[in-house]
Amino acid sequence: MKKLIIIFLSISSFSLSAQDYLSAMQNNLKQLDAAETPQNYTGLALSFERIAVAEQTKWHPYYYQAFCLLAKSFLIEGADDRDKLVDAAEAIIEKAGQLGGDKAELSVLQARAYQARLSVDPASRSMQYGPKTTMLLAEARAKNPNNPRVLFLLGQNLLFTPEGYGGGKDRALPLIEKAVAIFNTAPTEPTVDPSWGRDEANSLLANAKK
Amino acid sequence: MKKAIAFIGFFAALQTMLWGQKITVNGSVSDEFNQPVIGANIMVKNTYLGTTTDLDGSFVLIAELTAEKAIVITYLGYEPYEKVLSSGPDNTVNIGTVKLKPSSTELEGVTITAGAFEASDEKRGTILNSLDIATTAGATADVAATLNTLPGTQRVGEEGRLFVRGGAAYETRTFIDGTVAQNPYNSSVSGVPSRGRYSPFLFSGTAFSTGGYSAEFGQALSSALVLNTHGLATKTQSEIGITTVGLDATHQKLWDNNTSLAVSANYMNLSPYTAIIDQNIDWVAPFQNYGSQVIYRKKTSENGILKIHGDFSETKMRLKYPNADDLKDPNDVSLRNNYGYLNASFKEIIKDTWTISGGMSYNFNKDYVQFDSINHQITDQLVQARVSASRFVGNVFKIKTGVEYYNQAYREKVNNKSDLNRDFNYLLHHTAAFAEVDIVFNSRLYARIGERFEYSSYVNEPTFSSRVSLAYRLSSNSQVSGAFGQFYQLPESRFLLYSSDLVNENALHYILNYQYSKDQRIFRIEGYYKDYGRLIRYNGDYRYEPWLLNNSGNGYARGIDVYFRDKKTFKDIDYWISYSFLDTERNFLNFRNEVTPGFASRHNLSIVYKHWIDKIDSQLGITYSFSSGRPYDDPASVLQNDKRTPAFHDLSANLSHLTQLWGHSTILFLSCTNILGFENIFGYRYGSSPDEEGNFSRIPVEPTAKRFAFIGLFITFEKKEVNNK
Repeated sequence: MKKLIIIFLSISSFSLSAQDYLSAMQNNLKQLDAAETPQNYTGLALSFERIAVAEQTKWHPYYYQAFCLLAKSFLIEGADDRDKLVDAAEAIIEKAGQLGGDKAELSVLQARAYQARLSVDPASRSMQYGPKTTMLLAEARAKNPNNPRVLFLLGQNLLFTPEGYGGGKDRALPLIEKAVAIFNTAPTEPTVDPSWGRDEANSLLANAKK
Repeated sequence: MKKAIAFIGFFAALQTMLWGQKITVNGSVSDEFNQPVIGANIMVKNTYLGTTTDLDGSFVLIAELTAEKAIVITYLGYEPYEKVLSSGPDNTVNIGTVKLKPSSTELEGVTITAGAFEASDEKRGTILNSLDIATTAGATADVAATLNTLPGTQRVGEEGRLFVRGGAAYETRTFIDGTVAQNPYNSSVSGVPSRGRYSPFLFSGTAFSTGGYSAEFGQALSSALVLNTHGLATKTQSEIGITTVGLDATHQKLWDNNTSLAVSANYMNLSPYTAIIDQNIDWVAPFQNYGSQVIYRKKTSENGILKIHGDFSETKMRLKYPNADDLKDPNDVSLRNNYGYLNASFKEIIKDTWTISGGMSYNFNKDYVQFDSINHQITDQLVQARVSASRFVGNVFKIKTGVEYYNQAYREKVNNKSDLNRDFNYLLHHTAAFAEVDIVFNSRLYARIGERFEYSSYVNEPTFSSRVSLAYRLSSNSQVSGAFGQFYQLPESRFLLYSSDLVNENALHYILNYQYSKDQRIFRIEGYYKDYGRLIRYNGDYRYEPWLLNNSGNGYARGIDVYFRDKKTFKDIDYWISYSFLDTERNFLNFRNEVTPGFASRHNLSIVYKHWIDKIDSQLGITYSFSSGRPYDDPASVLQNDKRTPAFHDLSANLSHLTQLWGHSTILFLSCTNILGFENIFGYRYGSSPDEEGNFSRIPVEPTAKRFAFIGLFITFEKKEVNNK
């Protein structure tokens, strides 16, 4: 009798299982793939945050929450609102780092944050955030030479930096090509780890070659 | 067994009833200003379920709660809010309006605006950044000249230094990385304006106070200009500059991403330029300057850095100085200056709580001036060391404290190869300590209270000065703030040289400020009152009768400064308008009574316009400046300083063009001051004796030339990256 009650109680206890986490994350990631508008990203950021707060020890939901906030910041108007989103994203990136997040992936996200800051006021901020972005990505690349997102972002950064300032097509192309090669041969089974960037890299390569 | 199953069944049903029930939670969320929060996250604790707030801040959450029966509300920039619910009738709960508290990192970002203009590349929402200084037309990349386009400054064109809110130039002190820069302007002779010694590109942060500055700094009656140099260089590169007035070259190297060293040299000679363009000055040997600079940076830890800066230069010039008593016999004036500067500073964060910073500076300046047959040698040496520590205490307090010591040796020799022979010097020790606390009363009210203690061996008078400032946030975009401060400053060196009976001059500041900033537009208005006491006075030649020197002078300065900047309305266009109104009178130096001093103009207006023109890869800058007439003293008039010069007008422009030369990034910089050629007069110098009709002959004090045109080419060389395949 006791045994039955104990078994029953343990089955009915309202706890989250690994199954729930993975399916919730994959559901959100599918929606993230299709996201286009600021509202899409807002909703996803909130959803990832709930998963993150409920799980408490997982860095992936925080990673994607920051990703959504940054994506949204590129799409909205208003310097103050955009800077606030980047502030929040940077705080979340730090939290993800404290939970043991992948350093290369978090560097990519931080580099995106620098890019987001720069685009708010390019005239005043490019001198400060341009070099910061390049330095961070170069460091990440030295430690992770085969991370396609690091290579893609570094290539994108160099492509839009004037040649005289150390950028230009010639320096960018080898990096973008390597990124595309790694993306195209990456396993396609669904995963919670960051795997974005394939379409962006391919279209950047097409544009760069024009 | 049947009983057991029945019991289990009943138990299961009970659980479903207790835990499986859907509950409806109503409420709304607001910020610290009682404004609705849109897009907050309301979640059922320990689940993935939740909802968000609407445009009016309200939400409706319908979900099954867990055993904890709690919800969590989060919003970017605010502390999370948790509430355990007690179920009401019909399984609905109304939790009313939840007022969120800003997180501590949000609060760290707020600064008290009264009396301070912060220009920082690190902080946002600041008034200027280092690029602004280099691109403001009319300033030709001079820090002081750019700050002259901000409210609170008076234009004194023949001096070239900063005059703040009715204060003389000596009342503003410059600090680099925390220690004093004793000679921030190059030496000059009468009528030739000084220029700042430091390139604006050295600095990542500029905090320009127009009064009420922190207890961390002292010995400045009007203003502290606090400059912070860049940290570690970001790359290895070389740069050369070729301009119409000289050449400069820099090589900078970065090792291991933690050490950098930059070495630069410069040479400047105005001879070719003055040969082509007419000057108002009769140059014999135009301004010539050469020097070298070394900048070393090392990251000592994740958050720590060591900075060492060394600088030396020599300046020479010789000119014919018009003699108001005899226009046919000008004075022959020449100047040679030797200057050396060494600054070492460090910063470190210990145990994630204490921030320790400190530094030392050594300043050496020697002027050799020859005025006809009179030879003048002035040597000024100052060594300073300081250390300070600060930390946050909870989310409510930030405390900062520090000590400093400096030692100044000043010597003046005057002789004329016959009967004139004077040699005076003094040595003084000065110690100071300060303590300051920032208090966050709540998310709207901030205060900063500081106390500074100073003691100088020479005047033997310990002083305590209080500094208090308060800010009240009216909304997330605006604040009202006020500041009060007591300030002490030793009399100028030229007076300390002759008398040891003097005491500190002092000033009291009262400031009230309103600032609104949103989305790259900023508006600010500030009113102030300064009360001066114990200013140096004399009536006679104190060099021969030093007992005439005393501290009986006093004065006041009051006014309103207005500033508006807009980077948003017009695409790629950034403009600002600043206006200052100043009413001041003082009785100091050899004044006969309280009058408006010659450096104080009543109205000052600057309109600065910057436009990035994408099609030609260039930034265009235009600045219009206006100052109302300045007082001057006509010896024929009974009253002192009752006359006014004509108003000052200037329209300047510059163009920075980004291009490439042989694949290297290049900037072509063109600038010209006073394009419309206004004839500006800063004042008059009168002869010493009247003619038969009682008129005194006079010479106008004018700019060194009607216009100053400048062309510079700056090329940056970088190592080509080796791509690893």
